[in-house]
Amino acid sequence: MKRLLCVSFLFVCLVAPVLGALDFQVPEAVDMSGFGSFLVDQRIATLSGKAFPIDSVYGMVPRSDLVLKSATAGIGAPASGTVVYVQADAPVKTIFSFPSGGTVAILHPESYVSLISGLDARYAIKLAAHPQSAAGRGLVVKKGDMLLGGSGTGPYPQNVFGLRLFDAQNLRWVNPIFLASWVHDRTPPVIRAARLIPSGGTTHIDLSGLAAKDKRITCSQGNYRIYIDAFDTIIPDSSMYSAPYRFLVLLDGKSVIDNSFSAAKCTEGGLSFLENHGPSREAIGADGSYHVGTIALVHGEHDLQVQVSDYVGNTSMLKILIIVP
Amino acid sequence: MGAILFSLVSVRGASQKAVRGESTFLSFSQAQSVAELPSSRSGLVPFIGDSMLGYLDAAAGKLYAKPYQERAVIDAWGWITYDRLATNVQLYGTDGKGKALQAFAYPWFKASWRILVRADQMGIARIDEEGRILWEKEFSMPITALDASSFVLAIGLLDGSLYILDTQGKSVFLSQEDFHEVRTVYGVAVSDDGKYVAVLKGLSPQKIETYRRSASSYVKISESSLRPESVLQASMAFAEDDSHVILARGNQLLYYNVKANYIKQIEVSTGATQDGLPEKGGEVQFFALQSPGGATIPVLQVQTTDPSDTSILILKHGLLELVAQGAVSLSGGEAGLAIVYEDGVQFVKGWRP
Repeated sequence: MKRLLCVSFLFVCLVAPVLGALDFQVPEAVDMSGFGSFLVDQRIATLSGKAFPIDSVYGMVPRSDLVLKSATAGIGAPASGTVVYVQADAPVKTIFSFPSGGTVAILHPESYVSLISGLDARYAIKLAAHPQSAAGRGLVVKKGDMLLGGSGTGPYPQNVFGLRLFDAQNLRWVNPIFLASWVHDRTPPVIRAARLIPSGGTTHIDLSGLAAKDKRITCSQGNYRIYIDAFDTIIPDSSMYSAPYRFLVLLDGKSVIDNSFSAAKCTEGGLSFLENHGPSREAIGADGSYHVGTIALVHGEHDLQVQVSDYVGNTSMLKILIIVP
Repeated sequence: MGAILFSLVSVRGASQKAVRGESTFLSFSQAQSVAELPSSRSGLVPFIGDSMLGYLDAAAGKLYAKPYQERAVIDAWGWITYDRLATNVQLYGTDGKGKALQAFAYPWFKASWRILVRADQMGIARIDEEGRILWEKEFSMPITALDASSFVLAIGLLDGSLYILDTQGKSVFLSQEDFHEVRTVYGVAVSDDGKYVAVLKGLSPQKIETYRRSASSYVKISESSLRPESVLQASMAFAEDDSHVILARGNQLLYYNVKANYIKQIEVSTGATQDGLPEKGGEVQFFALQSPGGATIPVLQVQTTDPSDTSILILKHGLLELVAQGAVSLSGGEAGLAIVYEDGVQFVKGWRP
């Protein structure tokens, strides 16, 4: 009951204002990787028990889509709307194919646009060739219409699709996870590491590698960026890792950082995740952790609490005493 | 080596005539390894086929080839192979030595540009011949169209925004849009001299807009509405002489006269059984390729039901000039024209449009 209340609270506070009255349902899937996860093939991500040189890999940024593994070679349209763009993998290797593979963009009411990727090329072309509606408003798809995937296109393996949702009124890519009512996530995120890095510096102060009896560190007064390396598993027994949803940092009982992967804002510099400036890689540390914000430490003893939650509210926590002489 | 028959066909005219031209066919089975490439790069024409890539030494009449799997791009400095999942990107120099490129992206080469297009289509990075990132840019929207001359790179986005960047990645032109109206960019073409940029965008109405370089930026000089409209991504190419653009989209081929600002649909009929051209049935897809010179633009035709059934049609002012049946790609250079087939390269020395 408490969890349900928590979910309802999160939905009302974080998502409802963003999604308005959009009738949108994330299609049911057998596996999923969430918004904010690294934009990289899952096989690489699963090797990431140890740190890997994220910053040396071009394209390793938080993803703005949900990756959905379907039980079939198709995926239902998440909402009704008008198809405004179709791309398809070229049928021959000598022609450049755009990386998202077979993709349709659907314009929904209230200025939302969804992108579904991983579609079969021939299906996508057939879809684009469909006669325009009598009103001259383009091809209309209805919620639940099956979009076919075939053997997979772009970076999406067979039966795997990407789903992105753009809020054109507020100029942001929205995390549609709250519109997947069929998901029942019961496991909290795992915090692999948490670090402080002094502003302007590079030295890491590890918050997570301490023995239980030594949960205290000493550091000098100043501003510190907090990096958290954590992942979540949305579908039980999933092989696909996801980013957590929310990062809450309490200093002496007061909330000093409260960021989430509710959306990625469009900025001049690119996409802004977790309140970082664009481009999106600003939200990632060199070791693959998330940059969740900055705290100010002044002289004295401080209780620092790091809470990492998934979108349901399952939470993992890290507590530490910080002494600033 | 042998003679090749080219068919010269009038597109709309009832009469069709064929001419013979001397050319050289260089078979992949007799090609040398790319590791044996001469140190001098002059006169080398890079090519890419369905499963082979390499260089044609036009002066010596030699072919240097290497098989590849999955996908590849090539230019004068080497090539990159990559897989569909974009997790195995390998960079090679012309010496054949390779190294892994740490990227989750697809490479795109044109006119001395080496671009990595990020797997989510929302970012690009320019790399040098060693694979080092020179600069990168992230967009708020997916990239839906891309083209370049030696001087500028044009990028169209899903929301209709158009960016034109110089070689340093600096914006020389920006037309920013949003989704209050559908203005999606479906295709873009940059003229070889960078003087013109043509953009296919929007719905109800769908338009081709032309921009001309003015001082250090670009200004829109014309627009023309398009019928029928389509939401399918298009490939577009400028003729080298800047006279026109060919737009290919699905089974649709359009000729756009830049100066006179009019559009005509091209009805390509290769259905005749004479002139060595077997009858084509069913649906085809067209892709506009880079102009090899003058007023010519090649188009790749692929049979939808059998992608191995391909032809290259060279159009001159939108009229069918030459058909290379079975060809999969074409490279042009000062030395001539290299038409790439499954089993080798047809080199037409001194070919001029």
